[in-house]
Amino acid sequence: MAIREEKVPAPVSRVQIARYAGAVGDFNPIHLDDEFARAAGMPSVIAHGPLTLTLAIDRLVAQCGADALRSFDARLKAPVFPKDHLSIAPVEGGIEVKNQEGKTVVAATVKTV
Amino acid sequence: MDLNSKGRTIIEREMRVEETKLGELASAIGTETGAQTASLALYFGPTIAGEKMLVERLGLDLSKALLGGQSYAWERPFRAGETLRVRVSVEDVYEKGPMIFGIVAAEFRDADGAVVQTQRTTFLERK
Repeated sequence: MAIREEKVPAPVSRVQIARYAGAVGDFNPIHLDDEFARAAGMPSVIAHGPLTLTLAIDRLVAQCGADALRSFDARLKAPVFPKDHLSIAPVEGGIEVKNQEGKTVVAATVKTV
Repeated sequence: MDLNSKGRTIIEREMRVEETKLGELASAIGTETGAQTASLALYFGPTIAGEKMLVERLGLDLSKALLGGQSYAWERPFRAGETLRVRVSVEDVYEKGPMIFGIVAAEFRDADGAVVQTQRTTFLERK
């Protein structure tokens, strides 16, 4: 199945990060507490890696449906911050997730039926 | 990370796929396809028992650790109301250069024992 380049409809937001934390029960303070994140070397809180992946998977679901996805194997290459605009771009064997600066934040292999 | 944590079980139990949790994740995703996507990515294996349990069993230092990779293998989406048997365990822990790597595996089976989804998560921690 051919994957198309596509933008995630809305930028990542702090509310979204908080909602995701509640939905999956991941309250690591690096996602919720700026002070903790800065002490860990980040300029602010960062999105959960699985949230970034879920937003990318959501674009694949929009293109081919949930039943068509068989596997998604991702390497997280750079942190994602609130207000980042993400997009997916097809590459050989999968996708890359890029931020608004064109930086690759995730590289993933994707298998569909 | 605790280099001796390899083989440790983080959690093994039955759990119900809650419609409210599917809705919460769909809301966090915030798109028309959010509900479908939630049925694929409802759980992040390592924190099913809460991040405190992950920290304790893997010996993770949250101030020095990052998520390096995450894989999903799907047999089918989760279904609201179904009961799953989940097992999350530390598959491997090893040192490489200045980093410690920890691999956490999660397996979700349905009431018939059939695998619904497997996940593999790679954590990196600076020494």
